[in-house]
Amino acid sequence: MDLNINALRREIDRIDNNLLQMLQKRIEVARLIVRFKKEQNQQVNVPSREKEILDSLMGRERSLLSAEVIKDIYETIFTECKRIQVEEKPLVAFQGEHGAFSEMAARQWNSGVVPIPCAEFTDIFQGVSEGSYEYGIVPIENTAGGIVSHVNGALRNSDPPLYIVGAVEMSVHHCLMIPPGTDHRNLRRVYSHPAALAECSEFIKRMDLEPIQYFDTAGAAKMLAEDVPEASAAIAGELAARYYNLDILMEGIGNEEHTRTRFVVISRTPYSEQGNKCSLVFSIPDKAGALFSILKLFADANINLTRIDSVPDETSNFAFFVDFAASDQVPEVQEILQEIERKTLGYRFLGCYREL
Amino acid sequence: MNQLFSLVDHPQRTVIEVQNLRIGEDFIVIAGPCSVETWEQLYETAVAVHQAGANILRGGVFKPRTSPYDFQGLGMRGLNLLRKVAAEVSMPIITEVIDPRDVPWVAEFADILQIGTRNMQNFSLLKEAGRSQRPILLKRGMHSTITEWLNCAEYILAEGNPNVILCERGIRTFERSTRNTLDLSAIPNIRSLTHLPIFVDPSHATGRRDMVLPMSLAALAAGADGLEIEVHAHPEMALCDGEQSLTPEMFGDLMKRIQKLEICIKELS
Repeated sequence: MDLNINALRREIDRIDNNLLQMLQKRIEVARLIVRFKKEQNQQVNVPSREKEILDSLMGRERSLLSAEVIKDIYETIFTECKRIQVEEKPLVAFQGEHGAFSEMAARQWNSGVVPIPCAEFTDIFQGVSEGSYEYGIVPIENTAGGIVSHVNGALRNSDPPLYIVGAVEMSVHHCLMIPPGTDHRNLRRVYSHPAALAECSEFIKRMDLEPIQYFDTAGAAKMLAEDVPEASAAIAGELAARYYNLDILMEGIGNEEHTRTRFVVISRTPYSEQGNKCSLVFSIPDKAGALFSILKLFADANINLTRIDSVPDETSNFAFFVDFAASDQVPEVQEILQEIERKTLGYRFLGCYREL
Repeated sequence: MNQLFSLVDHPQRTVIEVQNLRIGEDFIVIAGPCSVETWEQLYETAVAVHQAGANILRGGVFKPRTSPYDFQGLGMRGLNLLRKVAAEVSMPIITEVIDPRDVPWVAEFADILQIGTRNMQNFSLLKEAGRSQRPILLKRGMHSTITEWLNCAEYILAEGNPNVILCERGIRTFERSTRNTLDLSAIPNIRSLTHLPIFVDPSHATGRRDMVLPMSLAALAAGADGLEIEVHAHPEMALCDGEQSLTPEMFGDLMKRIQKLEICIKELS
């Protein structure tokens, strides 16, 4: 290692960043354990387990890290873990690493929930079905890339059925970020999710950068902060820059001025209060006028349809995802829904919820 | 082959459109601080020059300074500040580029790129600027003749960028009471040789804020297409060139006189 003060300071910043990520992860895992302790009727607070961990850690003291200091640090960590275990704020699973656009959407939907990262969309659906997470948040449509078809499919086929309990639309503001101290003149490569690279393709071309695909936008930011690859930047949201201590070199670099993504929040139990928006999915026989007869029901009742997407399904029919602005507690709406259920195949009501 | 800057094949004067401005046709005033320092400094100055009637906001983020120990500018962070402040007051922006590698980055947000006096003959920078889609304001080298200056404009034109603005900013003479000597005769001289717009920077030419007003009026009377003037909300606190920066009050007074003189000139012609 280069032993000059600036290089050492950068090394300290990098280690602090990694320590914070690990601490965050440590507390999240402690929160996830609560459910299993409850299922096994265990106490949330298990002093014997705490002592076991502490003894093991203190046994690993070394010259610059005494057992006393290890004890002090871990007692603080235990206290905080116990606090969040008792507090039991609801969890919302999102796909990607911390700082992902989905996490920004989750915070926008409800600032009181705790976003938990998941590697894949299927982990979200499975985790919510099994009760590991109270909620999941998934992108469902995007002004640049159209509908997110596998998410729509997973929603339709969820078993036990999952419900939409909320929705939030967010403008996606792409930022180009770099580790502090990087000279923009030396940049050669840019890492991000393929969709983000596509949405910023014109900028990437103008700057003559090589786009490199990464599984996730925030994941690319995290990798950039941890590994500091040479001559590299990442494209992600501003939250990722803040979480991983990266400098935003440029913002608003998308091809379109305003790309918007709509996210839905899913849960095992339907929304309990009065909603203003409903989602449903159904298939219809492949014949003239079949879709029209259904849409007419909404038109006659003067109900605004806010979304219709058709997705081909395995039986060579088309599945239609329909959103409309009304509450399912209105008798007239209930009649329409019963009528649709009679006229269609594979009808499923996905939920009534509030969307601003 | 005739030079691209020459009037021989291009007798009509070049008009450069930037947002809703027509440079080369309307009299244009560029104003703002020498360098971008803080949000507050830039915002306060931008609001003041906008209200006084300036058309384009200036602010340096990459600064070519005489000494390497002087303030070098905020770099890309400054460019982001400039972009945000300009959006607040709805003004186009101009900023200087000093490195060919910066051209695409600065061109992302700046409406006009400036090439400073020290870089007038930086040929790799001129070529890169010529490949940009943005108009270029090319300052006269402090030791350069009119012919050398026009040849540098030719480098930009030859790369395919037709939008070059020339800017007289004073030349080195034996006189030390002013920072440079403003060559006002360059205005009719340039107009007789090229179709490109000609601006005057009275701030660097004199280095003294008491001389900015008379030289601005003289430049307009001599046929300049516009001015570039340094204004700072608090010149005594400026990190760069404070002694030649106008206060917002002085700039407001200057703009009023410019507007009156424009009317007089129209009546004369």
